[in-house]
Amino acid sequence: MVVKCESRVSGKVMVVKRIKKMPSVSGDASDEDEAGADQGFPVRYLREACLLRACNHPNVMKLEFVTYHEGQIELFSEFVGLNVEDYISSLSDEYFTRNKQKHEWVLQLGRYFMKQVLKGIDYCHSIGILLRDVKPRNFLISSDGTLKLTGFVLARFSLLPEEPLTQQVVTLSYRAPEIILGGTYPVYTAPVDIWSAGCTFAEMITGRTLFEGDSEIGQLLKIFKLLGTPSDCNKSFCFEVPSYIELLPQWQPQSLSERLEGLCDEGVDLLSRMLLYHPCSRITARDALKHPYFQGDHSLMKT
Amino acid sequence: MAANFWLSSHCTEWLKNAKDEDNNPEVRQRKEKNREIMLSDEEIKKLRIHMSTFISQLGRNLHVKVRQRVISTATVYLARFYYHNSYKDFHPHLIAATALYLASKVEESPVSHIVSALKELHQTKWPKEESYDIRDIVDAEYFLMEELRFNLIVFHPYRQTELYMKDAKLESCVHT
Repeated sequence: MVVKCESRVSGKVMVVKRIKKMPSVSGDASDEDEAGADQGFPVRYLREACLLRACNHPNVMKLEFVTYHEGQIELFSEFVGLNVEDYISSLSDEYFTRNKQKHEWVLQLGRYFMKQVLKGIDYCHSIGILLRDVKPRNFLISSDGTLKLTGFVLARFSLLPEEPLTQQVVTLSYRAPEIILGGTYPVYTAPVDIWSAGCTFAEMITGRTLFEGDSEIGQLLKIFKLLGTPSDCNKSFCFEVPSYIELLPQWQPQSLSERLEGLCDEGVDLLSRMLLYHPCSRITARDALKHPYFQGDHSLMKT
Repeated sequence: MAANFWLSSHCTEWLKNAKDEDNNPEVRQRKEKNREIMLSDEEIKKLRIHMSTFISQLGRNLHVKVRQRVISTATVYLARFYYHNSYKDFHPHLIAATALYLASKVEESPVSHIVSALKELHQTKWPKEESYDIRDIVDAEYFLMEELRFNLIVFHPYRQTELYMKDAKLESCVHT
């Protein structure tokens, strides 16, 4: 449950995320059977709390404090505003059709927000946090146009993992191919966040989810349909891919600029670099910020 | 770890030196409280050594078996906790077990049988003493987190040491 509140002490408007802990399996047997007993502070929220505390950046949501009272955890963070998913769905269709002034406005906003998304991701990567859940819902926009990253429930403090990571991360539509293809314990690191950021970018421009698969294989097919089936699999990915991939239809890469109508050439180039199959050749957040797409003055014009 | 140590709370908030210690009223209060239970600075030092041994014994217990990294993190938590608090107010064994429990969660390898390990250790060493159960640990957990101000990420120089040894051509001395 998420509630907006105002501090009586400082007058600051904050957001409280209140989590009811699952009631522990009560009974006298709990001492013998520890697995069913109280697990203390849930690991997901522990992760969110300690990673958000480790961050200090204008594009990352600030966690003010945490309270824990009788099994109820409350995370107090600054109030930002609506998330990007709601922002996209609040715009009517005509904002995304071509040759209209409104579409121009959407494109400008997209660039403006994308720059902040990449700044936030770059910061997290620079201090060693792997986000693993980059999607429009996890970006908040404040009334003055600042964008902040949130959603650290799946994040991890290690860019060089010592053990295999789980596959069950990142919302399916934004999941990078190396996670889907990696088997039960895929090896992945920072580029997965860039892939998700690329999908978010496209969504901000077109108003539609870029790859909307209903299952893992469906997701892969959607990706291959647009970007082409990778011809030499083991060269395109840095690990061994399952053999069934050979049986999939061989699609040719589609033109991204057709899919993203109205987006300038630099923007299309940036997106295509963010959606490369090989994680190592995918652009990093830092390099993306230096991309020509973001050069020049793109401050928001008041409308 | 590929993270930036110099910007972390570990570097900016938790590296203490003796000079700060004299000026900090909280620390002076802690020292006075420690003296009340007849602990001199020398004895505190010994107690700290004992407690880190205790944590590593607990961590190596068959029921728990955590990585060295978790043990080190727990030891740092314990040291940080007793920087602001006195041994008089909190039993170090409870805080040590809680620190290990919390560290195992933060380092992504949660253990669930910490209490059996604690009980076993107590039975072999201090059979007369009562051990703690999971409820005590869960209660102490939040308190510990609050005392650490949620700065739960701790840096360890393991990876760097390994690289350094490699650079010095002393790989054979490193046991990983």
